[in-house]
Amino acid sequence: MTAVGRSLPKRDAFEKVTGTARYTADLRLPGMLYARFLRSPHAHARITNIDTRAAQALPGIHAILTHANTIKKRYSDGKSDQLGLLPHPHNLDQVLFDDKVRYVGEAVAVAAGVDPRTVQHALELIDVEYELLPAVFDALQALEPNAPRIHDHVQHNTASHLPVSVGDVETAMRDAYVVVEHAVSTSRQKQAQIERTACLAHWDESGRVNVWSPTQTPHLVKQKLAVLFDLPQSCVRVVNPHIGGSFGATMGFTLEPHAVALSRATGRPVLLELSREEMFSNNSSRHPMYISLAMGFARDGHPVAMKVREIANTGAYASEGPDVVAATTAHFLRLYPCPNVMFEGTSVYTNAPPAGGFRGYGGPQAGFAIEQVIDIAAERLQLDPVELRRRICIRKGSVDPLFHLPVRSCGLPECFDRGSERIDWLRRSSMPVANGRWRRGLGMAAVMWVSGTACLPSTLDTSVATVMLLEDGSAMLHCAACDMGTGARTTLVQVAADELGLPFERVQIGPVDTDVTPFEVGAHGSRTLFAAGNAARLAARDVCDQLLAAAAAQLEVAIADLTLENSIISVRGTRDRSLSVAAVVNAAYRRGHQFIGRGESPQVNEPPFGAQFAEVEVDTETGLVRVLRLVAAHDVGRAINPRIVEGQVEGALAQGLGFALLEDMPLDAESGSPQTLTFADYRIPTVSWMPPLEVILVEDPSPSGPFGAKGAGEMGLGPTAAAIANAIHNATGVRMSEVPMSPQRVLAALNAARA
Amino acid sequence: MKLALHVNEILVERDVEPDVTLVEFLRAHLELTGTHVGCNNGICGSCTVLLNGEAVRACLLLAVQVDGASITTVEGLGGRQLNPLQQAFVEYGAVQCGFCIPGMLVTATALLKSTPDATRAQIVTALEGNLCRCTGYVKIIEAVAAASAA
Amino acid sequence: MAATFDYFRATSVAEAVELLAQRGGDARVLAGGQSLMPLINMRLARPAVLIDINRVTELSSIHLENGTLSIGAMTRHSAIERSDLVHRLCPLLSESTMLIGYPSIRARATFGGSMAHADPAAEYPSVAVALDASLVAVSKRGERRIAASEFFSGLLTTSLADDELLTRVDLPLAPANEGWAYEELATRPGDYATVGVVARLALDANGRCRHASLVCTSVGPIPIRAVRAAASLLGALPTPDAFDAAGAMAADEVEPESDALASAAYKRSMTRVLTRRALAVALDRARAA
Repeated sequence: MTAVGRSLPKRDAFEKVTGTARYTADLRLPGMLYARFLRSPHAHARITNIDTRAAQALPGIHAILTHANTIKKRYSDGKSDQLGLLPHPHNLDQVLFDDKVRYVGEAVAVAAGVDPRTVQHALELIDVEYELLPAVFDALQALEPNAPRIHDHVQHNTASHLPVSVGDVETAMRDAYVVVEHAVSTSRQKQAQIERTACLAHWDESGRVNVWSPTQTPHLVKQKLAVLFDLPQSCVRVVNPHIGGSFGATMGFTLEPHAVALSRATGRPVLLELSREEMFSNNSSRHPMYISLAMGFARDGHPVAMKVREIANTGAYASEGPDVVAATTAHFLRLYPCPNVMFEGTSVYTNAPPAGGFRGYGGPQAGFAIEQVIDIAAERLQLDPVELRRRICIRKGSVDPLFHLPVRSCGLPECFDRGSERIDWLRRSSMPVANGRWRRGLGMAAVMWVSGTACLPSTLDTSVATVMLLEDGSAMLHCAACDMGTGARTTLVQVAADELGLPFERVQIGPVDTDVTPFEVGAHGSRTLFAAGNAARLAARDVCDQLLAAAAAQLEVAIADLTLENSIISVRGTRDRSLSVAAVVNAAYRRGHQFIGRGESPQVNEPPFGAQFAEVEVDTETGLVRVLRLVAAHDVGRAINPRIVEGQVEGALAQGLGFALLEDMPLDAESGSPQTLTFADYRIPTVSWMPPLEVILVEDPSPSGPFGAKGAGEMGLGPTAAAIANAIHNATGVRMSEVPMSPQRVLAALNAARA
Repeated sequence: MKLALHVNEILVERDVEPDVTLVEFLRAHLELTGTHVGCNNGICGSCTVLLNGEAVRACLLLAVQVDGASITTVEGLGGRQLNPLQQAFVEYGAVQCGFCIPGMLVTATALLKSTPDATRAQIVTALEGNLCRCTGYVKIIEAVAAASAA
Repeated sequence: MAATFDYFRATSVAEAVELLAQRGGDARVLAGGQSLMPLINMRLARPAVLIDINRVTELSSIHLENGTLSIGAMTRHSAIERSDLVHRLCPLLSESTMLIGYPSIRARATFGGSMAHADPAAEYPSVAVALDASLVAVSKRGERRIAASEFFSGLLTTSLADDELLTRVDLPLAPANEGWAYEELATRPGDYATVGVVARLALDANGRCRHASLVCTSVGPIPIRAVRAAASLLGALPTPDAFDAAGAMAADEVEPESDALASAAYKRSMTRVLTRRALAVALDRARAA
């Protein structure tokens, strides 16, 4: 019985439901010390003095690190400098500790001691003197000529500027039948994973650095640490324990450099942890963006011109900022091909907490802009919103205008069909429906994303996997594909098992440990199942080829005459000439040979697609928006494990709903302090708040994905806010331009419309 | 201060400082790391344990407060085999990253003890104080509903 | 490392009162812990002394005496939720309990604790003010009755002295023909109110308003009685216009502050909307009674 396509239970579920799964903060090593950071209360200041003597003297304190006693080598916590998405001169703008702080919550010291209370006490004894500097928190203000400079060597606080120009936008816009303009501003959404980030580091007696961390990119962290601490990469080991969610927050570095520095300073293993308050003030976020979009349409609805101006607030350090801005071009320039385009994207330094990678990677922001513009165009052209999209969206068989990749699978028409039918989209013509103070409406939005980052301009996208047959014919898969809850450690085994022709139960996956796994860039960009799956599949195929070659020799037939199925190798067309895989393996074992296969992910990419449909009810007295139903039809190519991918989409929808209606971490306008430091103030969807979700898995198999699969993890976040905004418009006639679409904002829009 | 209580039906006797929270006691002193600390201020619910059968937040209790009581953690829910609720969580795909799951299981256990035929609405109300960021809650509700006698 | 506070476990009111007399200035009383422990864990509260009254069983009680519902300070929210007596005699208290947090909070949180913590966004303090409750405080100096309207003196501040223990809250029963309502705007079910309004309304034989009371949650440092708004209804016909006018007055009487969730202006507008809604619901109940 094959594994692919079956909703097999997740392999790691057993230890997670029994409480035996170990996350980073659950780990213990003999002699382990505990560590916490001391953080700046100021948004922009020079540290004029830092006195740690009283803290150092506290019994049980083993080390305190500050800018005075740490290396000054520059790094980026993000992955852009390693994966080379676009060349960015400012990427390497971080050091372990600087003598200047650039955002409220920036670390100024870190202490390691025998227990957390002692460490906490020590932090309170550290005396820091600051010379305050003027600060700026808004990206537009930071671009102004006299704005405070966040980094001395960077002009206009510009971390990156990306202009893209195709054709003649001005003429085309002038000649367009309809021009639609909309400007939006988006929020500082937090990944808010429930696990508080931790890192256990041990610079051991042999000089090897061992790190246990919830990083999504273990090999990249290995590389970064080797460079930072001047070590051969072979002396650095990075291991993933179980990971309690991540959503982009743990791409690249989080706590590793400081934990390693502390371990080196103390000669002991060190467990460094963040409190939940620090998870809010630090630990990355989505980039708040200002986006103004103008699109010109021909009479039949085809886009003829597009002008995008995008300003992203990347906070105090560049991190993923430049890449997120670059990635938004994929959201604007592919789904609705347009011959004349001008895109201008800028990532801007401010004294806000650094933003980073967050599932969707610019998609939710771009989607909120473009999917509303399409909706407005439909209204102006007197076309149904789904109908307009059907007309103008990219087709299977065409070439994507941005990356010039052939679109060889596209289930979007089926997404439109099945999604519309499920929500009964035809009801929209009788909307809005009024019920006292409530107004009900329907809205929808679409999305096109990527399966990983291969084939994108100057990006490194690699997964290497090995498959090893054990002496009894069972198999081990080794790859560094990270599973933050995505189920990759189950679905990759399903792929490998089917390719090997082995039962699922006979194939296991090894740990994510850079000492034993070959290289892979890590989990991001919806690449894991696609790229690591391809690598696993190729590794399995390599093993099969070797097995068949050995069996052919044993049976004295040509390889082409053999089949491999259910662990049996048979001569085609015969019933009695066969060997079990175990027998072939065993024979090889006695000759001193083991079958080990390897596979590298091919440089291919295939777009997944989706369409979401929302039914909302708006309380016109309070502005409260209730989502009555959310239907998501997503083309995932092939559902390797339907229940797992369904769960992934459901989780993405929840985050999309949070982005749309609930979540933001604003900063105090004067001090720059984050205003939401607990889950009481930062409101993520709870079980009783969630509307009913309906997920429809569409499968238009990709010729290049493992068994046809495409990357499904992120696209669920892209269209949700726009689908809801479009439904609010259908219900009330108002257009929203900010997320979250809080009751206050919706009411303000309603009041403005009434006036 | 001296402390004697039952944890997962085993008598535990320790001497602890009064400022040690129950969750810290379970994790650091008893090495029962299945109970998680997601926020340490009583909101996320990932530290939920049963105190004399009632679901409570272990980060909001001092260890010394539960002297003489009976505590059940996620490690004490099933035996070597998964109990029906745990089995349902596995089968229904309710587990993604798993960090919130111990708290969900303990809360659901208390619910099904007091209301064996809990309806979907009752399940939603009971789990309202348990945050999950991965699943959108859909399959968690389905799993508890499957384990309910309703 | 030594503990960050001295811990005492009281088993009687007398014991608790003695401890407060000795160490009250540095002490916090630990009841349900659902408000205090988060503050301690985040190091926003750093008491030198913690007096745990969870074993003072005499403080857990709900009983009716002389037209007054007496609720002991250690009575858990969940006990109030399950109490038939409260459900029958004080449905406002029953219903507002369901708005508080979620089951595992209600399992530990206490009635007295909620009062003593005095969070202006919490439901119980507003209900206490709306019901003209008396709060009983005990110290070595004796027993003191404090009217709810005087008990809450500022943001997270009560008029309890350092050596006083809140032992019970006495709620006078509302007349049987009085209507009531608690309307709340919360971001998600179970959240603290963005704005809340408690309304009480009684009609005379001619259908005019004989008595009205409006108390607003989350729009000031303490529960705010909208005195002028309530007074405007006396003798008036309970029409939607009258309710809206009262709402507009209430919106002027409150002192909301802007925060991460909502602006002061929005909270004022919602005070008006919720006052109108609360009065309408209270009217329905008054007529049904």
